[in-house]
Amino acid sequence: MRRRALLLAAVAALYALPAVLDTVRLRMAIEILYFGLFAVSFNLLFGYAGLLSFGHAATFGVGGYTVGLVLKHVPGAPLLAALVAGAAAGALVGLVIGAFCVRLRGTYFALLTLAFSQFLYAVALKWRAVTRGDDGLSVAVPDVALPGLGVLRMADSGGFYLVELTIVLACLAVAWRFTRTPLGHAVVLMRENDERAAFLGYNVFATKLIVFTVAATLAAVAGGLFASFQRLVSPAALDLTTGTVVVFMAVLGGTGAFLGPFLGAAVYMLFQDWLSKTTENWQFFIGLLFVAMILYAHHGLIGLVGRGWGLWRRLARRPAGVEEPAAPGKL
Amino acid sequence: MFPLPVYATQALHGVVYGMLLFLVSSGLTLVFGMMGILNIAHAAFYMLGAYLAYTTVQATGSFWLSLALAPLAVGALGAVVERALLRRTHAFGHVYELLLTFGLFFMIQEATRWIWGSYTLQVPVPEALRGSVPFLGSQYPVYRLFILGVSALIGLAMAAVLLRTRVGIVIRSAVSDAEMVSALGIDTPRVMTAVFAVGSALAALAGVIAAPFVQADLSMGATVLIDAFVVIVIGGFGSLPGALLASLMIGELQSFGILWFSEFALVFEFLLMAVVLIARPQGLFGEKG
Repeated sequence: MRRRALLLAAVAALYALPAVLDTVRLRMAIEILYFGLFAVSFNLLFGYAGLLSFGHAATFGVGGYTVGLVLKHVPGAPLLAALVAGAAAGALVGLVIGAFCVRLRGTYFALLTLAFSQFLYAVALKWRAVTRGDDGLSVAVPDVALPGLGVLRMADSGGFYLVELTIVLACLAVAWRFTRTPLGHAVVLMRENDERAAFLGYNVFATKLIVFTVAATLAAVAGGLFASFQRLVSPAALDLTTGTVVVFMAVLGGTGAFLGPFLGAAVYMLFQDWLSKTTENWQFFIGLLFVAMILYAHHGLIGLVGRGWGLWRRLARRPAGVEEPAAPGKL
Repeated sequence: MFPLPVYATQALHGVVYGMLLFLVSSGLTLVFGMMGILNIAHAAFYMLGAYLAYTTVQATGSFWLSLALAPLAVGALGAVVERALLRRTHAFGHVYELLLTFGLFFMIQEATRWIWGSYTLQVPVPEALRGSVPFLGSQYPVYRLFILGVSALIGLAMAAVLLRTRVGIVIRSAVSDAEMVSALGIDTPRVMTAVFAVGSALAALAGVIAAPFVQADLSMGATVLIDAFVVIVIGGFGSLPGALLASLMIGELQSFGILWFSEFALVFEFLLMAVVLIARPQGLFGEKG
């Protein structure tokens, strides 16, 4: 009950943010929201299924382009419909790519996902008739009408934030619910030992494929939000850098908890913002931070918090109970 | 279509690039065979080689000196990376080793940008290798033939060491079963450090000889990374003959790709890799699945 009250308070606080933040900070919050969703979707694969994808940007970009194309070619299409179309395209592409990739593990999986994302990158770059190549596709976002309440202007950061927050929270709720289903549990079993899972009667291929598709769908929604906010989608949305950044975010926050990557996205964006104002060579320090995290804290910030929390509890002389490892399943 | 000499020239271009790619991917595939790590930072070592060549040429005016200096420096760096960083992450599992090398690649690339700036740096072709020779009625640049010669020479030297010396036997045994080799009383951790260092040095050497040909550029790491990945996937992880064959295939594919379907050369490369991964995940010459 107490947790639910805390959660409600947090959600209410998030909805109140536009009243408190100035435009610059609000724009930062908007970016954190879609990158957070992107990182959480990445972690469904990496943290839960143990599948490290270097090509997760592929469906992020597919979502972005689909939203852009729908808004361009379907007159009068509302933003929500475009995002649904983007999610559907992400699911479809995820299903196809996943069917090839999820049979592989480890390095092979990482490389094949990279290959597919580079393939899509090349298509986005070269298929100029549809994607406008390097110039990028400009995205015209229609305002969102709330029946009986008025219109939220999308050119206005506050309006965009509220719409985006609602969509991201809905997606996070779906993702969280998904990890609590029997299928969500089974995939953790497969991460630990997929041979054993197969002997227990699980269909390893189908289970991993479903997870891959769900992760791709959510990444596509994040990409759609990204394209709507930037009002532009270019091949950069699905290049190696985008695929890299999401890995950094997830590892930084901690892949062992559901919201770890979201925290990672927030810290990454704020840190990057601060760092890029401080030094021209901020990317070097991002890399340094990433390497240091892997070496000294590969459970991420959430892992550090968890360790600190464990230490605190021991110092407070509570009954210790079972040491909980930083594994997915905790919010 | 095109006259025959065009094809021949293009085929030769393909062999030259393929052999350069082989220099890069041979170190990568040896390390993968021994340690099961795909060292993404390898591509950054290649780039570092080119930049060090630029600095050496600027400072001393001698390209030949850079041919020795850059591999030595990068080899030492490789040894440190293996000893101080990779070995630490070993306990976390392969995925974290992969992530670490991924982070290192990024870090070295950004450090390079910091030190040398974002501009393309020209490394002049050394005096002795300028000009071109007649080739089937047209002219072929001498420097490209030099790349071909050096790569082939090193490939042969590597084959000789691996197949004909005691060190080679140890390395090949460690590739197939490191645990057994270490049970026989051989210091496998040291062998691994050495192989890692030599692999890094080879990447740097490839970078040096590539420098006058492609110029020192920040994107050269990512470009060669993708090609080298494709090579070891197609050739089979850990297989040197596979890497050679696949390097030549990719070299030709790119060379003729530019001639016939320049727009989609990259696409074909990835399609080829995807097909191999799906149909024969262990690659053409690989044994482990």
